[in-house]
Amino acid sequence: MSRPAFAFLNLALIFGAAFVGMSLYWRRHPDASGVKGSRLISSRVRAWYFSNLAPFETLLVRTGVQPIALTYTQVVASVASAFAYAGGLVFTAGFLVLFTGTLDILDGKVARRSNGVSPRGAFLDSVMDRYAEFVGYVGLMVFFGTGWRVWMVLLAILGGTMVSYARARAEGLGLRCEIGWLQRPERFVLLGFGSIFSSIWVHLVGGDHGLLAATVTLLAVLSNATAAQRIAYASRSLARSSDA
Amino acid sequence: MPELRGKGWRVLGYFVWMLGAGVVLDSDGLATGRLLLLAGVALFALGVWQSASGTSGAPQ
Repeated sequence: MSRPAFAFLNLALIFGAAFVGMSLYWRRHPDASGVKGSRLISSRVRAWYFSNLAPFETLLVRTGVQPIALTYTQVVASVASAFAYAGGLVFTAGFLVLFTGTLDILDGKVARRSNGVSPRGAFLDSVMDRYAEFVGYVGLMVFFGTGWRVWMVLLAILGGTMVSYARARAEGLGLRCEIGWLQRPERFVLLGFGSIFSSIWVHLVGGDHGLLAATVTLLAVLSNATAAQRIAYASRSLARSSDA
Repeated sequence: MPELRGKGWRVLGYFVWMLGAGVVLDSDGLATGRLLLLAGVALFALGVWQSASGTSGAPQ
C-alpha cells in the first residue's frame, strides 16, 4: 500500500533532524580537526555523528559490555537486513544497514575506552565485518532476483572484498593502506540511505526501486575504483621501498 | 541510565521512530508501526524535556 504523505514526512524528518542537529553541534564545536574525515564523509559530519553515539558509548563501557558482543550483534543486525531485503522491506533494510554501521563504530570506540583493544579483537572484528557485509548483499541479490542488477550486486561484493583484501595484504607487508574514496563507513551510508530514499521514492512516485539499483551500481563502480586506488598505491610504495 | 539523559534519549527516540517508519512503509503492520512511532516520539520528547529542564548531566 502506498503512503506518500507519511513517506514525505519521513523525508522531511531525515533532512530536518540532520540539518538542525549538525547546525547546533557545529555552532558549539566548530573544530573537528581531531576526527579523521574523507572525501565523502567530512570530519565535521563524523564528529557530529560520534557525538550522538557518545551517551551509548559511556553506558556500554560502564555496564561492562564486551566489544566483541557488539561485533556479533552487528552480524545479527546484518543478517536481519539481508532478510529484510529478501522480503522486500527496503526501508527497514536500509535502517538496519545504518544500525549495523553504527555498531561497527561503537565496538571500536568501546574497545578503546575500556582498554579492550587486542589482536584477537581486531582480527575477529575484521573477519566479522566481511561476513556482515557479504550477508547484506546476499539479501539484495535475492531482492533483485535476476538481470543486470544482480551483476551490480556481485560487482559490489567483489569491490568491497578487494578493498579490504588490498589493505590487509599491504599491512601484512608492513604498509599502511587506508586510502580511497569508498571505505566501509561510506559504503554503509551509501547503501543505507540509498535504500531508505528508494523506499520513500517508491511511495511518493512509484516505480521499482530504480534508485536502489542506481545506488548499488554506484557502490559497484566506486568500491572497485577504491580497490584499484589501493592496489596502485601499495604497488608504488612497495616498489619504492624495494628500490631504496 | 543517567548516561542517556538528554541527547541519548533523543537519539534513541529517533532510531525507534525510524524503525516504526520502516514497519509502516514496508508492511501492513500498522498497529506495530504506530506503537513504535509513538514510543519514538515519547523517548524524543523525554530527551528534549531533560535537556530543556537542565537534568541532562551525563558527559556528552
